[in-house]
Amino acid sequence: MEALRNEITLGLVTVYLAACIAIGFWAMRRTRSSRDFFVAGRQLGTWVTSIAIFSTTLSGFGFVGGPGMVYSMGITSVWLIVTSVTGYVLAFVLLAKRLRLLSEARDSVSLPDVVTARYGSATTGGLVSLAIVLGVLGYLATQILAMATVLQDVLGASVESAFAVDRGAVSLEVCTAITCGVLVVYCTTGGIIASVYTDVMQGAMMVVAAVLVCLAANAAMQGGFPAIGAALVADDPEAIGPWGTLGMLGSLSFFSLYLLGTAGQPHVVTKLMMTRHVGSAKQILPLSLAGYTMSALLWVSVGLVMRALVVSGGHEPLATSDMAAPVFLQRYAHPILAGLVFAGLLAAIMSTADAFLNIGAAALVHDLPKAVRGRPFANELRAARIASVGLTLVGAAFALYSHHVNARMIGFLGIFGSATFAAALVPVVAIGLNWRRATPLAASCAIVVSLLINVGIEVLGVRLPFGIHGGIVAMLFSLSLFFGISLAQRPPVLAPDVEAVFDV
Amino acid sequence: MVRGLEQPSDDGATRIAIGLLAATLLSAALLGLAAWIGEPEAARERPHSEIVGMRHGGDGAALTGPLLAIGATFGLVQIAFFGLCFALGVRRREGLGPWRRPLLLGLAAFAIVWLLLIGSYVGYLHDPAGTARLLGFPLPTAILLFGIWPLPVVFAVLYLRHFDHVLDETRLALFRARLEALRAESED
Repeated sequence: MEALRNEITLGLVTVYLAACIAIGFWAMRRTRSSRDFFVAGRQLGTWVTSIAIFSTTLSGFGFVGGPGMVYSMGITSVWLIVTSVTGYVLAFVLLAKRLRLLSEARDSVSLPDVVTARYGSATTGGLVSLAIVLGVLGYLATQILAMATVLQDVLGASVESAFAVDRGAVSLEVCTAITCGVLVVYCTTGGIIASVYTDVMQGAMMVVAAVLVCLAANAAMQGGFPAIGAALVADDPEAIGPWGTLGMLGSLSFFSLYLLGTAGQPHVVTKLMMTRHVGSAKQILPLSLAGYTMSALLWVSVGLVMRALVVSGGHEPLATSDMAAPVFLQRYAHPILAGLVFAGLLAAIMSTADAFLNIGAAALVHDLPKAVRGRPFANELRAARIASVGLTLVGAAFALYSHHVNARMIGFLGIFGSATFAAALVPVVAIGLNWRRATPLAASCAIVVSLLINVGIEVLGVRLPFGIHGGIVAMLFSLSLFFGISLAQRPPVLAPDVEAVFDV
Repeated sequence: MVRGLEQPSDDGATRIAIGLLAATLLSAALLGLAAWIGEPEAARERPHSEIVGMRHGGDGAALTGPLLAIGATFGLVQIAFFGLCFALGVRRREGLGPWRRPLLLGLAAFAIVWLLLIGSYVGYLHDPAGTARLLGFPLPTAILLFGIWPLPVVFAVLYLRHFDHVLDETRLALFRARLEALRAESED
């Protein structure tokens, strides 16, 4: 079977991608309106929502970027997943009820719709759309780069064995083009319905696969995790210490950013608007938590074992840290497990990219036009599909720019996206839906300042001391302004239906 | 929208918001203090000397040692922030109801595990090789993985146990009736 590894991997990936495309076309038949395209007709059941929530979070960021960050920085990035779990609980506590009920009250199809209703301000809703578009570009670039990296490895190995040519013949640009082609077909046909049902397929499989990969990681190095730990301590005690190579404050900035910031991730919280029953949050939270925790084992275990293998001389250094997961699967996992995980990775990336394209398209064709000219496009569904194509192309350009010019890791692109969302949306959405006194001016100021700081730090390449992430600085500024301005102003008068939501 | 209508105040939520503002400002002050102390150039993380694409943590004792108190306090402030946000999410206008005691206990557990991590890291800073291990992980890392990672289960169980207080069916029915009335009113 080992001799057929490349064929097995390629075969499973092909079958899986074909299944994804089929789901896209199936979903297309169920997508008759923009409400179906954006919020799945608000008809998702408990299991579907649970799996979609955790698998949309991990995706290319978690399954490719995560192991890459552990390989490069040790335990530092583990803070992201450890605190994201607590962040999930907070997101449910703050938003599961009010977000769902307000979207029901106003028949909202997007987060900016809800924000516009909450604050009675189209400007605030428009600014939320802007923040979403910027964050989506970061996250979308993450997904595209992750999928291209995995494809490059899978296709490169197959080309090498079939045609005896160097695997480098398959370039990242070619794989990015293939990625964009598949994404455009998939996303423009099925909308969010395709995304959530692909999430269900791959999420359920990844839970099982991640546990098996964790066992494979334990077996990859003689002596298992105790030997892995010993090798890492001998090489660099800080890397396997609780803060990793970035140090205490760098890790704590992730702690803070993800503890609070999960409630500001639109691809996660908009799923809470899509449920059939508001009460299903009670079952969705534990199911999502369990699925996320088990899937995240892949993030931690693969990164650690690849770092230990390399520092102990058991494996040659990787060309880039983002190759940690693909190389581990090709070399140390059973061929069928590797094929399934590769296929699951690609499906995860596609469904998450679809979710981002969906909320990005909603911001571009539904929310921004409403904020600027008072009404959305006439044929919203068609405009959304065109916007998805445009976003894919811009995301691909950003991905290649970040890879070649900035030499950015996939994980860090993802962190830029999530930090942009967290700093802009946590105060406005998570706090604003639970505190009547929050004012539109405070919300708008918080969004503008957070975007200026986040994008400024990114564009200017500012390095903060002790590895402190710029996202936490942006979030602290936006929170301070949000609370300070709201407290300084007269309490706003809320619309009666918004007041009714607060009273539940 | 009915402008000028007297709406009931919610002082409890505003008190929580003031606490959140204080926690935010304290977090910013702690990070500012660390930046003012300054990062020792020679000790900070750097590329691995032998392996391209891998980072090295530098001199942990010189880098993190002077920041331990700041970092420990920052972590406690984040836990307090989490607790205040949780309280904001689960409370009703009348107050926290059955949540008060279990929430405080959960936050105390979170803080204790956090302080255990910090305490064990002090020993690890001085003797990494001699620090106790659990499944191969040094004790402070093991506390992160096996102590802090599963902690949300406590809060998730609380959420399930007191879900009826979060989403009361009677209030939900009243909300829907009120919504219908408002829609009928606007149609008229």
